[in-house]
Order: sequence, then structure tokens, then C-alpha cells
Amino acid sequence: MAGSSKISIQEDITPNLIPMIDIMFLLLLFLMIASDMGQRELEAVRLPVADAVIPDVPEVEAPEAGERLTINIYHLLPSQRICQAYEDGAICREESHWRIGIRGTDYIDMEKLLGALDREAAFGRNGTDPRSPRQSERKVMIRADGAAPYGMPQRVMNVCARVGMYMIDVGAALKEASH
Amino acid sequence: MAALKLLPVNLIAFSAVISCLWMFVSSASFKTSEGWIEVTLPKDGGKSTQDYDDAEERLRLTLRFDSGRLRRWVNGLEVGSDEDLMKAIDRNRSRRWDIPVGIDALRDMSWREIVRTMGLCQKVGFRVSFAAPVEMPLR
Repeated sequence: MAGSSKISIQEDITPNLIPMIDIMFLLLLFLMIASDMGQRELEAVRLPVADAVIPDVPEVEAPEAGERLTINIYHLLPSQRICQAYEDGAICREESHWRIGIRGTDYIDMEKLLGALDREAAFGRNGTDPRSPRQSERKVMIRADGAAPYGMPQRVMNVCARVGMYMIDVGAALKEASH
Repeated sequence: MAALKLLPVNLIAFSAVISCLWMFVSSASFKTSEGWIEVTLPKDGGKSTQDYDDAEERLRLTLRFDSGRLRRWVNGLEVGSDEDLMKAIDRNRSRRWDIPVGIDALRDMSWREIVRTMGLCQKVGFRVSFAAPVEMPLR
């Protein structure tokens, strides 16, 4: 009779919240990064190193820096175009290997770039200087790859000058960080 | 004391939080490795060279590749090392401190070298401006 008695074990089934929070956090992180890919400001660029640069941290950024337009000049990926010079870290002078990108859109035709920058420059035009009515106070950041020939950023700067954008920030890497 | 022994440490959650913190700190430090150098373009789009006609009031850096070797000139006089370049730029501080530094380079010049030179100018305290080409003899 003693062997037939049933032992009832009561277990508390509670969800383990901590791994769930971790997974939710990682999912959120993933979605935040992935959703921004289409409109991303920054392309993968090997920035040239400079001795003295203004560090890109929020405390140093000017109040109007949020209005700054970023133009990327970047080399095609090895999967798109194999370039031995670029892989070796030398200058790639083949212009067809380079792209000028603004918020995920590439501009090969300079007239199209002119049109796009003209629209962007319109936000900063206040017409205070009668000698140059097209002058725009909007800042531009040129993030060009160090292996690019000067002709590429020069081309972008020419277009910026034509639409009246004269305040340019040149993207560079901090010397300490590069080592 | 007995109550304290009942509190177990959840190592999995602990390691997950530490990993997340590590990820955040690594990405934050990557972000700060970038910066910028402020330069200016002619406000009139380079239509006029009026501001750049007076050679006494400006500093011109010329960069050229000669048989694969980088050569640099400051106001037409060749300089060798980075230190020589900075000294040559700094000598002009005695005349005026707010003169713009103009960069003169051809289309095939390495952007890396131009940015490096701009960084040296910024280190000495000069601001770089780009201008429409004006011929200057090199010595």
C-alpha cells in the first residue's frame, strides 16, 4: 500500500524573461541597422589619415551640423570590380571604378549631381549677399577614399561651388586611431 | 547572512549584458576615429580670381608627382619633409595669421597626400581653401 501512494510535485512554470529581453534587444539592434541601409549617409570608405582633424563626436559638432550633407566618394567593392591597385592600397586612377554617393544614390552624371546638390543647397540660401545670390550656408562633408585621385573630390567641389555651397568639411581619419 | 546565500548569480544574463556593453563601446570608439578638416571654396563659385591675385596675401601649396615621387612647394619653393613644410608655412605667420592656404594639385594627385598636407596646415593653425587655378612658377 505504501508503494502505491502518488507523490505530487508542483513546479512553477515561469517564463525566463532575461533571455527574452536579450533576444528582443538584439532584434531591435539588427532592425535599426538593417532598416537604415537604403538611406545610409556613410559608405565604406578608407578615409585618408591626417595629423589634425576635428573629431566627429557629438560634443564637438556644431548645432547646424545635423543639416550637413554627406557626399561619399568610394571604390566599387571587389565583388563588383576587381582592382589590384586599390587592393594594394595604391591610387586607383580608373574613373569607372569610383562612385559618388549621396544617401545611397550613386551619381555618375555630373549634371544629375548638380541638380541634386542644387536642391540641397536651396535649404541654405538666404540671399543676403547680393554679389552671390546663389550662395548657400549649407555645409557639405566630402568623405572620399584615400586611394581616390584628386580629380574625383575636385569634381564634387566644382559642382558644390557651382550651386553656391562653399563650406566644405573634408572627411579624414584620426592619426592615432589608424595605428 | 543566510539570506544572502540564497541569491544566485545568473551568469548567462550577466555575460549577455557584458557582451552588449562591449559591442556598444566598440562601435562608439569606431565612430570617434573619424573627423573632418574645414575648408572653403570661393563664394562666387570661382568666377572671379580677385581674392587670389595678390600673392603677398596668400600661401600656395603645390603638390606634384615626379617619377612616382611626391614633391611639394610652398609659394614656389620646394620643401622636403613634413617638418620643412610646416616650418615654411609657419614662417608666413609673421606676416599675417589669417591668410588662406591655397592647394594647387593636378587631377591625378593622390587625395590621401592632399588630406595629409591639409592636416599639417591645420596643425600649424592655417585654414585651407580651394581656388580656381592661377599659374605660379615653381623653383
